[in-house]
Amino acid sequence: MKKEILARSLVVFFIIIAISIPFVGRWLISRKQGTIIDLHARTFENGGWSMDTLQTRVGVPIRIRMTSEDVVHGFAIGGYEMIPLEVPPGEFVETTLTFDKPGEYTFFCNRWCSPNHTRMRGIIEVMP
Amino acid sequence: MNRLDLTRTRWTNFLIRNRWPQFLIRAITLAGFIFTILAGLLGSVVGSHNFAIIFVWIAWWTALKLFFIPFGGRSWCSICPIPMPGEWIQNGGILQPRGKNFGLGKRWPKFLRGRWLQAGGFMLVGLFGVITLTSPSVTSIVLLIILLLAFVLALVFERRSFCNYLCPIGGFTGLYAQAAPVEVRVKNPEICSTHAQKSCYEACPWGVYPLALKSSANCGLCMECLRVCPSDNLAVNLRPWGSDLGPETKHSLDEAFLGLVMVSSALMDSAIFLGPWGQLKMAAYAIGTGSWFLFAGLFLVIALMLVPGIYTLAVWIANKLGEQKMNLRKALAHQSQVLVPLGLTAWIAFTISFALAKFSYVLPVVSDPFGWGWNLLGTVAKPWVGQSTLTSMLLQVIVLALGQFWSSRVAIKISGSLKQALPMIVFSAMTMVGMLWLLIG
Repeated sequence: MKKEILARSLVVFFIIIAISIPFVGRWLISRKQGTIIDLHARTFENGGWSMDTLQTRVGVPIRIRMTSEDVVHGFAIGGYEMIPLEVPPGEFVETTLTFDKPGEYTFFCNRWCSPNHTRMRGIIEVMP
Repeated sequence: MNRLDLTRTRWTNFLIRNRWPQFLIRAITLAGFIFTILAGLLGSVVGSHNFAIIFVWIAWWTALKLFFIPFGGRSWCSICPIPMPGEWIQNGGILQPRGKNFGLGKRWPKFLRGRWLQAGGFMLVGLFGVITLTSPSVTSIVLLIILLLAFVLALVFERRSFCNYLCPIGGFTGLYAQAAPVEVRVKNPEICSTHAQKSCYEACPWGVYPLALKSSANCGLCMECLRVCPSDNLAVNLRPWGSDLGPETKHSLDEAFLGLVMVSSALMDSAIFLGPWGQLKMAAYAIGTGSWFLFAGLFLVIALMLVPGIYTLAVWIANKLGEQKMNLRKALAHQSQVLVPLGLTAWIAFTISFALAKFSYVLPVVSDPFGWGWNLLGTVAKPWVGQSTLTSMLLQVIVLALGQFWSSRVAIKISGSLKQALPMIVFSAMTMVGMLWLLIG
């Protein structure tokens, strides 16, 4: 009976480890990441950008971590000088943006990703 | 006897008889199974960056066809975690021998016995294959349904009814285990016939009586019979490949149907995943649309009418050419043995095409199983997306040629003469040429 109890305990132990990996891992990563914004790209037909409005203040850096959930997307911002980024599916691309003028900036996909590609955009609100 | 009994070697005997090594592997695979379900549900929707897709459809599915079945028959079934939760309740424990605890223990309905449902399940996998093989969440939902179904059925029916009659992978491994070089057999039949208790049958979760074992199709290699036999009268033999295939072994119509579904699925999967027809792949993906229904119709016509039709014609001609005539039903079952090496090698050739090209995805998902940008083991690197190389093409040609030789040999072995075997050899050659065309072009 002792062996049976040990066996049952091992099964439960292994299952608890399996279940805790994603939750503990996510919690640890979120602690480490701090204020990084996770932005997921999908074709307009699949929902477009996961966030359509981002907010920051003039001179305050905003860190964005992007990934694509379907095809290769791009990331560019109108009126903001930057080299457009490529966002491949399943991979992560990070960028830090700092705006020196208040206003509304449009971010958009610059890779022809779907028939409704041109509608794949969002706004960064930069407050004074 | 050209057999090597593994129970005669001390360390293999220990590994086989002791419950702990097998239990530990099963416990880890159960945890891995649950982890895979979570990865599919919580992780990246991009299949190539999700543990569920890469481990189930690249690593495990490849290992099953290139390693577990060709070298170990139903060895995967011996460590499969799916029946474990149900058996825990059914037997009142997970390490102890089978015993009555909880559950209705009903016998599986007679009209549902055989390989029919497994074949149907495998066809369903084929019909929805493109979405299941590419979408992590769908893969997880399928795994979850299988786990729950096996659990519920263990509470209602006796032993491993799910594995015996429903599991499509059980059907796949069982069919091709007949060609594998491993078997569990009784050492001395006389000892069994004088043993009234039949403790081996009582202990067998598959409901198999080892004395009656003529084929390895139904034996899940769980080794429980060895552990409970009071006379040490069971052997785990290494044997020549294809030992279960011959004129003496008995086969049934459901086995023929399963074998035909497997051959048709290998052809269809090769056409969908590797063929040059983008529209076919798109149609297979667009579930519920008109084009998908067209694809499903085509799939079913090929799996249920075209391939079985050509097979029936070949068997009918072979039967006519033979000196001893059988009725067609019996002949269809008897000749189904040709489908075993034919299907197995067709599946191996199909697997080679993507295994070599996609295996580089395995290490990155070990480090980042959810596709969240982790690098746990430092193995995240851009996967090498390979093409079909000359090596893989060469291997495929060799495997298919070997399959043609092997199935022809089985056809001759089970037929009265070379003349009678000829229609089955032609059927086999047609399948192999079809595979060659789809895989190599």
